[in-house]
Amino acid sequence: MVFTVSEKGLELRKNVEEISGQNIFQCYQCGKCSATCPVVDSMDMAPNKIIRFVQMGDLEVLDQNTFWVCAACFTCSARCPRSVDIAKIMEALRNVMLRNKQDFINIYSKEFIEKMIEEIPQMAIVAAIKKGVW
Amino acid sequence: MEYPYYPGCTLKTTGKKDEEAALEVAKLLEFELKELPTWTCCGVVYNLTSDVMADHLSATRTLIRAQEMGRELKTNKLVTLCSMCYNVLKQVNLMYKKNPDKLNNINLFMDTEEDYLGNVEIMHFLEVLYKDIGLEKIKEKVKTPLTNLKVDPYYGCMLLRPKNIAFDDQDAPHVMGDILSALGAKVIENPMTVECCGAHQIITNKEAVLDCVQRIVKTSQSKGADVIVTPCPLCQYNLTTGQKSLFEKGKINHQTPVIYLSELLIISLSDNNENYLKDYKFIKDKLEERGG
Amino acid sequence: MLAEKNQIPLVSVFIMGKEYKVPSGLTLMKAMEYAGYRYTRGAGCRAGFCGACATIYRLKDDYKLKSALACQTTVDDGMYLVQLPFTPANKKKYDMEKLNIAHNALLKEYPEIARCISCNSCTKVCPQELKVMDYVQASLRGDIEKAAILSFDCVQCGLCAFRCPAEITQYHVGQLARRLNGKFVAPKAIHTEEAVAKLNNGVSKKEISKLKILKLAEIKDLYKKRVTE
Repeated sequence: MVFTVSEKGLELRKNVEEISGQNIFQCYQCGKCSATCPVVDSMDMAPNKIIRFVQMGDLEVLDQNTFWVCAACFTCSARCPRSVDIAKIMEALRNVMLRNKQDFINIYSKEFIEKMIEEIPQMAIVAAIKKGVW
Repeated sequence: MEYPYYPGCTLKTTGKKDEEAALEVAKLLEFELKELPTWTCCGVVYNLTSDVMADHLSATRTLIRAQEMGRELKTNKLVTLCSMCYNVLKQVNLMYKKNPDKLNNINLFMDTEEDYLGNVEIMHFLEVLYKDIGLEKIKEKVKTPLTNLKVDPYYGCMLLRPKNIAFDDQDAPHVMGDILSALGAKVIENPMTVECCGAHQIITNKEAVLDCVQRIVKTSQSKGADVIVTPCPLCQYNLTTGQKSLFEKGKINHQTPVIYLSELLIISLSDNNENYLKDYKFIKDKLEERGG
Repeated sequence: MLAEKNQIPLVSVFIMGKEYKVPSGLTLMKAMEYAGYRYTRGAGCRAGFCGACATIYRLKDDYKLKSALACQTTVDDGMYLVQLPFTPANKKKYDMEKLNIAHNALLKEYPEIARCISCNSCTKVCPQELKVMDYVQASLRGDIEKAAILSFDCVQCGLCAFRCPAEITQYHVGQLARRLNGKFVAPKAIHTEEAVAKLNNGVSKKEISKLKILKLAEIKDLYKKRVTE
């Protein structure tokens, strides 16, 4: 079956590779990253599937919540047998969305302000904003 | 020995207990943590993109402050208590070693600061205890041995990943366990010791955090741990509030207390540990119950 | 021309791209008025205190953009300048009676301070030479006293907010810090409170009533005979 990547799909793949500095085709879909990811159960699409979609230039990948649920714990990158830094690929996908003016968090929303309760460690607030706002 | 010390925002706010205890522990073990005169937020999670440099500025400024203080104290070390700060600073430092042109670029931009030369050595408090102070000295200074207290040392992710910043084995770390054994405690081996607690998802996706906490705590409890010990303020918060939610939902049937490593050290090493024992009465009870 | 008669040297300034020759030694504000501009916005106390006349300028053969208060800085030959009369910055509405001094007090009203990347652009542009980045970082950390002390001389010109890549309005954060400091942290002026209470209780009522019915000559007499330390 012949599969042609769309213009936008090619652009997405190029962007992800540039921002992450990773060769997206180094992944051979062993699934170790998904097996080890601590938050995979909350993800729409497992990490290895996300990488497959990027390899295929499928823009549906940008609608998934995977990279927003990612906790940047680096376990996937530590386990990958091909030394692909999956954490960097997730960061690249977040950046593709953020740089397109699509913030994940609105820091002035009622939900967010309510979270600023006294007990929440500062580092969580700054991390959430860094990952979710451009 | 005086070490330049970088607290980070969390240890000055919600994690104050950790800092107070750690500064006291340092005194007891005959070294001093001297806070940097001015400092900025470390920038929390290390920016993983290959092009953005601005997010590295806060960490670079901290490294320059450490460089300045290091000249005064004649050392190039910088000690942090917070796991996240440790991770960010060390990754930034390594990035500059690998990319001297990026270091040049940042130095050029920061025209109001001296150049960062790339020579600061970042150490976590655990490393200082293990490498510089040594287990023998810690053993000598024990006043209240934690005999038969079953402790579960929980590392979390930021201290040991990625590999180039890890100061201990990535899958079976032993440094914290060794220190706790030196205090007389019984160390439990928990295979979930380096599993992520969910980190900042506590803000955007609490369910994900509850999944992680359940995994960590169930294994810990099945191995009979009395207390989970952690150096990271966010892990302490996630594990504590996560357990509360899980308990309310009936997913776990009891909540294991989570305590900072520095606080447990004070209980064991200090003569004046009454306040801590009052806060953590269960430790006092366990020690008495088991003849400690 | 008057300037030539008194032999004050003239310098070239470029106001929004157009060249004018103005006497050296004039402040930017006076120079613009000399050139024929009339201020309807962007001028206030003319004494370096209100922050209305924020100006961005560049010197000849230099690439750096500098900042100044137009009423305080004098003209330089080859200066390119533009004025910023207004910053459309975000100002939170808060009720001081409902606020407290927890460590996240400032973060709650202005959560964008968590975006600060310590780039120092705010400090570099401040015409009052304040340590702006330092007081924003102190606010992030809940150190209200430090934020209040460092931001004390802020004239709210708004230049910092324009340069900030994280879109923080530093001067509003500083203002809230100073208000919280005054209300909760700084020691209370107990003597002032007591004196005001005494006045409200009418301690000076009798004396003031006596003075009110005196004639001008009698008041002048009393004034001359007053006891001074």
